[in-house]
Amino acid sequence: MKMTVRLLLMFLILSRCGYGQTTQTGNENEPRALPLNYRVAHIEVADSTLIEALSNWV
Amino acid sequence: MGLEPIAGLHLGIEEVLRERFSEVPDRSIRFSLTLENTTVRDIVETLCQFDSRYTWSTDGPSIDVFPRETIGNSSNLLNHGLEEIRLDKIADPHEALTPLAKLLPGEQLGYAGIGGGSSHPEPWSTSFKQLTVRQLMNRISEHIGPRGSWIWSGSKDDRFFFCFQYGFQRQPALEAAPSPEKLGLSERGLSCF
Repeated sequence: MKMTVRLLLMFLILSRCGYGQTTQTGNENEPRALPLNYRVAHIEVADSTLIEALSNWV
Repeated sequence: MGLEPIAGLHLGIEEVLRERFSEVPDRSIRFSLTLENTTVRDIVETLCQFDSRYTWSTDGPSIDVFPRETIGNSSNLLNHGLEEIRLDKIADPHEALTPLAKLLPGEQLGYAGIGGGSSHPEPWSTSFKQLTVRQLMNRISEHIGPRGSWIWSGSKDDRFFFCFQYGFQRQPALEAAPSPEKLGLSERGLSCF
C-alpha cells in the first residue's frame, strides 16, 4: 500500500514538473493557449535548412 | 511553406552557432518536404526530425527550437537561470538586454535590429523571477504582439538576438524581410552588451 502511494506521489510530482517535451513556465501573465493543434492545410519546404523553413513559415 | 500567419504562435529559435563569425552559415543539412492537413505540433516535430541537431519544447505560448546538444548544459547562455530581472519602461526588446547583460558579466550578447517592427506597444515595466534567458526572451517576444518571435544567431564569439513583431516573414517597415541567416551576414545593425 505504501509503495502504491509512493509511486502515485512520484507520478504526480513528475507530471507536475513537466517531464517530457512540453514544459510550462512561471509567468506573471496568464498563459495563452499555444496553437499546437492548429491545422495547416499545406506546407511545402524546398531545399531549405530547418531555420529557413521555420523562418519562412512563422 | 504555408503562408497563413498563425496568431498566438510565438517561436524562439536558438541556432547552432558557428565557430567564427567569418565562417559561412552551415547550410549542409537541407531538405524538401510537403505536408498536407497537418498540425503545428507535427510540423515542428517533422522539421526537427529532418535536422536531428535540433529539438523543441514549449514554454507557455511559445515554441522553442534549439540545439539538442544544449539540453542540460547550464553553461549555455539560453539555459542560464536568472534569479530576478526587472525591466523598466522598455520600449523595444533590445532595451531588455542592458539589465540582462548586467546579470551576466563576461557573457557577450548582442542585438541585431532590422529597422522597425519590433517595438512594444507602449513602454513596458515588469519583473520576472526564476526563469532562464530563453524564457525571458519568450516573455519579451510574446509581449511584442500575437506573432512576436526571436532568434539567437551568429557565432560563438559574436552572438545576437533578433526580435520580430510579425513573425519572421514580413515586417511593416520591410516589404520583404531578409532571412535571419542573410541578416546575420551582411545587414545587421548590432548592439553589443
